[in-house]
Amino acid sequence: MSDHSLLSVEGLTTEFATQHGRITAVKDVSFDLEPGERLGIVGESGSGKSVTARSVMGLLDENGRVASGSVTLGGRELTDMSESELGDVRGSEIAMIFQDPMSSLTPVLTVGTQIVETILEHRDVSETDARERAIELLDRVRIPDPESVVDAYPHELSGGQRQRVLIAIAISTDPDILVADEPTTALDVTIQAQILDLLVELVDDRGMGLIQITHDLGVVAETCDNVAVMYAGRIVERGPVSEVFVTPRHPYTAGLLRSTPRIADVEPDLLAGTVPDPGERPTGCNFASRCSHATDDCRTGDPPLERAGNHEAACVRTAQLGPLEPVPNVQRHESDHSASTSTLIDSNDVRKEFSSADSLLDRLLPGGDPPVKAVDGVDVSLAEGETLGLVGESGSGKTTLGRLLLELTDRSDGEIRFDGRPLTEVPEDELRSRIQFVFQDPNSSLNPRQTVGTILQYAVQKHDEGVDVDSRVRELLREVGLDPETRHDYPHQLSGGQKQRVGVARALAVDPDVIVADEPTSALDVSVQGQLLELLEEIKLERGLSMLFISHDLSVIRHISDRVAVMYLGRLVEVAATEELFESPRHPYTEALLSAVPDPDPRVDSERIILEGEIPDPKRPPDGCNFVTRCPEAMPECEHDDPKLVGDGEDSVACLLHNDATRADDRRRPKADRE
Amino acid sequence: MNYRHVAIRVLQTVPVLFGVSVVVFIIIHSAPGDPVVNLLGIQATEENVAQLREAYGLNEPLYVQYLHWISGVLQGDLGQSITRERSVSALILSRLPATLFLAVASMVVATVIAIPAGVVSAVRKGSVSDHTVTVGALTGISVPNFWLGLILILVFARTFELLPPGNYVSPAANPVESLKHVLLPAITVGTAYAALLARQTRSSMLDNINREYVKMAKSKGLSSRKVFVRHALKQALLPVITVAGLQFGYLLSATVVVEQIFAWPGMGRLIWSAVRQQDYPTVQGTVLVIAALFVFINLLVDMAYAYLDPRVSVS
Ligand code: SF4
Ligand code: SF4
Repeated sequence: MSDHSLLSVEGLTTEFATQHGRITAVKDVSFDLEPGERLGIVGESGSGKSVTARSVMGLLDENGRVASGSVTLGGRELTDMSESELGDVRGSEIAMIFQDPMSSLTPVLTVGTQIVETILEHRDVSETDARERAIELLDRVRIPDPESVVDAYPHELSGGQRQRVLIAIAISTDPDILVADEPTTALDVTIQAQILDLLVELVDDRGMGLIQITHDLGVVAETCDNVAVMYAGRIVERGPVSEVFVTPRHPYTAGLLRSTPRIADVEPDLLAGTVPDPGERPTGCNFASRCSHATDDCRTGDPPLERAGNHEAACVRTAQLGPLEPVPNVQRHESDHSASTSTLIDSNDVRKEFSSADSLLDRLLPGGDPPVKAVDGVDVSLAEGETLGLVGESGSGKTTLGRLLLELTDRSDGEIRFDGRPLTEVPEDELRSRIQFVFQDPNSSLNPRQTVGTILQYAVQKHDEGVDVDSRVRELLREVGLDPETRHDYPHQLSGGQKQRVGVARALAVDPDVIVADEPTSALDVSVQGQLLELLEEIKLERGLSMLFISHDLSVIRHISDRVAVMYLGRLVEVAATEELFESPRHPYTEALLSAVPDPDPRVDSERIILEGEIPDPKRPPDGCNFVTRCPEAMPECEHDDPKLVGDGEDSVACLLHNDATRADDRRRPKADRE
Repeated sequence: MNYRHVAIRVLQTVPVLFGVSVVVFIIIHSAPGDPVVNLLGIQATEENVAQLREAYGLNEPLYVQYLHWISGVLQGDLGQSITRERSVSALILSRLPATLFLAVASMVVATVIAIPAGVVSAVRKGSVSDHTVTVGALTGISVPNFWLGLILILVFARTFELLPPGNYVSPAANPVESLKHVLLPAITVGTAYAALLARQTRSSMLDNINREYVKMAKSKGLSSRKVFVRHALKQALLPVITVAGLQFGYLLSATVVVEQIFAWPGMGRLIWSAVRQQDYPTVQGTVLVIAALFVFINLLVDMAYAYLDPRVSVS
C-alpha cells in the first residue's frame, strides 16, 4: 500500500452478530484511494459493498463490528477511534451521501438547519455566515431558488432535490473524500443523469476523492476511474474501469457484465444461480457454484487477489482463462411477432383522475388541491402474442394505466375493449381468468401466512375445479423453474427471485391470455433479474401469451418488448417497434431518456442529453405540450399547442416537431368525426 | 398546517359530541332507580313524587326530554340540578378549576419523568438504566391508583408529615401552598400516565435511532447528544404526543377516584355524588363537559402534531 494514499483500507473484515451466530459480511477487503481518485465499488446485494462503506465511516448497525483490518485516513487509524474522535473526522474529512434521500434527511428539520449544523460543527463561523454558506451550497448543487429552499422541509422537495441537499451537506465542509452509497438508485433515470453529472463535476472541481458504491455497472463506467468488483464479501477484481470492464479477468465480473441488459443491440447472457448467503459461503472460491470455469482447484482455498494482466483478480485460473469477453456476442433475436395478429386489448382515450381530497368535508371546503390526471387520454392496444413495453418515470401514470386495463381501478373516462367487446360487458370471472397481474413487490402480494402450495392451490381451484390440484401445482412450479418441493415453503423462506417466480406461477394458474407485469424485476439483482426476464419470455412464447410489461428501466424494456410505449405525465409520447424506438427515437423525451441510461461499456462515449429541471407536479401539468418545461427542442408554439399522438399505432409520436396535430383539434370537432 | 386542516378537525368534533350527548342521556336514564324518590326519601307520598316528576319534566317521553335538554345545551344552559339548588353550569364552574389544575399538574409530573426516562432507556438499550425504566414502567402501570394514593398519604403526609394529604388550594390564592397540596394527588394520577409515556418514548426512540437519517446525522460528525436530541427525539416525540392525548381520557377518569382519596373538590367528586343521587342533569352536564374537554385536548394534540411534523399539512 502506498504511503501517500488519502484513504487506505487494509484487510478489512466486518462481522455481524445474528441469531444464527456471527456472520462475516465483508472479508479481507483492501483498497486505496488517492486524492482526486474516483473509485467505484460494485456488486449485487449481499456482496458487502455497503457494509464496506459503513465500516469505513464507522456507521455499522449496533450488531456489527470491524473484526480485523485497518482503515487509515491521512495516516490516522479510524477503526479504533472513539465515537467523539470519529465525530471530528466524519463530516469534515470524509462525508457520506446516502441512498435514499427521503429517509436520510430528518423530516422535522428544515433543509437549512441540517446544512447549517454541519458547518457549525466543524467550522468556527457565526450562524448567519453558516446560513449564507448553506444558501451558496444549495445554489452550487443547482437547486433553483435556494433562498426559499433553505427554509423548506425535506418532504416539500422532490427526490432529485433532496439528493442535491444531501450532496450539499456532504460538501459543506470541503471533505477530502466523498462516499456515495447508491446515490441515484432511488431516482428516475433523467434525474439520475443530472445528479451523476453534478457529483463528478463537484468532485473534480474540488479535487475530492470519491467512493461510489453501486450495483449499477453503467454508473461506474460513467463516473469512475477505478473499480473494485465485490462478490460475497470479497473483492474479486480490481483495476481501472477501462480495463476491468473491457478485458475482465474474473469470471464473475465477466458474467455480471454479460448479464446486464443493455441499451445496445445485444442479447444479455444469463448468469445462473444466486449469491450465497453470508452464513453459507463455501470453502474455496465463493463463485465456484456459478462459475462455468470452475475446477476442483477452485474449491480448496479462497483465491487471493493477484495481478492479472494490468489489474488484479481473485481467481486461480486467470492465467489459463486469459482476458474474458464482457459483451455477449449474441445479436438480439428479432421478434418474430407479426403485426397482423388480432388486437386483444384496445383502449380509446382512457382517463383516470385521482382526487387528493379524501373525506367529504375535505371536498366541501374550498381551496383543496386539484385532482391528479394520472392517465390523461391514452390510446393503446395490445395484440395477441405481443409484448408491449410501457416505460416511464415516476408520475408518468404507467402503473395506473396497467391497472385500468385490468379493471383493477375504475377509469374516469374513455373506453377499453377486450377481445372486441367493451370491458364493461366482459364478465368479471372471464376477465380475471384471462388477464393476470404480476406485481412489483412479491412480499406484499403473497400472503405470508400461506404456503406456496396453498397460494397456488387457490388460484388453480378458482380456475378449474375438476383438475388434480396437487399435480397441477407441481407442474406450475416446474414451469417457473422452481423445485416442486417449494410448495411446502412459506414466502419468507424464499429469495426475492423465487418469490417473484411464485407470483408468475400464480398468474399462470388460471391459464391467462394476457399478463400485465408491473416492474416485476425492479427489486431484484441484475443476475436474478435476467433469469426472471428469460423465464417470462419463454413462458410467453410457449403459451402464446400477450404481455404488458411496465418498467422504468429502458434496458429491461429493450430486452423483453416487441413494441414500446413511452409515457410522460399521464400521456403516451411515443409508441414504436422496439428496434425502431431504440435505434431512432423521435420524441425528444425518448431521446433524452435513452441517452440518460448509463452504459456499462466505458468505450461507448455517447453524447448525453441531460434534461434540465424536474418532472412537473402531475397536479399542475404545464400548458401546451406536457414536456415543454424540460424539452431541449421546445419551440414557442409548444407553450400553448398540445400535441396529439399521431401515427398508425406501430409508430406514433406526440410532438410538434413531427406533426402539428394538437389535441385541441380533436376537441373542436364534433364527436362523430373522431372515429 | 393550514386553515383547512383546522377547519376539518373542528367540524369533525361536532358529530362526536352529539354522539356523546345521546349515549350519556340514554345510559343515565336507563339506570334503575328514580332521582325524585332518592331526593324525597321513601316516606314521600305518591302525590309529592308525581308533582316533582312533573316539575322536572320526567314524565315526558325520553326523546322529548332529550330534545328539551339538548336545545338548552345548545343555548348554553345545562339545566338545573335536581338535588342541589344550583344550575348545573354553576356547579361545573365551581369544580372545573380544581380538576384542571390536578390534570395539568399530573401531566407535567408525568412528562418530566417519562420523556427523559424513555430516552435514556432507548439510547442505553439493555443497560441497567434501561431495565430500571422498563420495570418501573411496568410497575407504574400495574399499581392501582387508589392504592398508590393511600400509600403516599400514609408515608408522606401521615408518617413523615412532609406534604399535606391533598386538599385543594387555589393556585391563584396561594401558588406555593397550592403546589404543595397538588403534589401527592398529581403523582398518584400521573404515575400510570408517566409509565405509558415512558414506554412509548422508549419504543419510538428505538424505532428512530436506527433509521437512516440518524446515521446520516452521525455521518455529519454531530455529537451523540445532538444526534439523539435534535434529530431522533423530535421525530420520536410525535407518537408520544398522540398517546399523551389519547390517554388524557385516562387522566380524567383517574381523577374521579383520586379526588375521593385526597378530598379534592373537583369534577370527579361532583360526578360521583351526582351519579349516586341520580341527578340526571348534573351527570349529563358534567359528562358532556368532560367529553368536550377530551375532544378539545385531542384537537390541540392534533394541532401540536401538525406544528411539530411539517408533513401533516400536506397529506
Ligand atoms: S477460482 Fe475457479 S470458480 Fe472461482 S472464479 Fe476462478 S475459475 Fe471460477
Ligand atoms: S411538442 Fe415541442 S415541447 Fe413538446 S416534445 Fe415536441 S418539441 Fe418538445
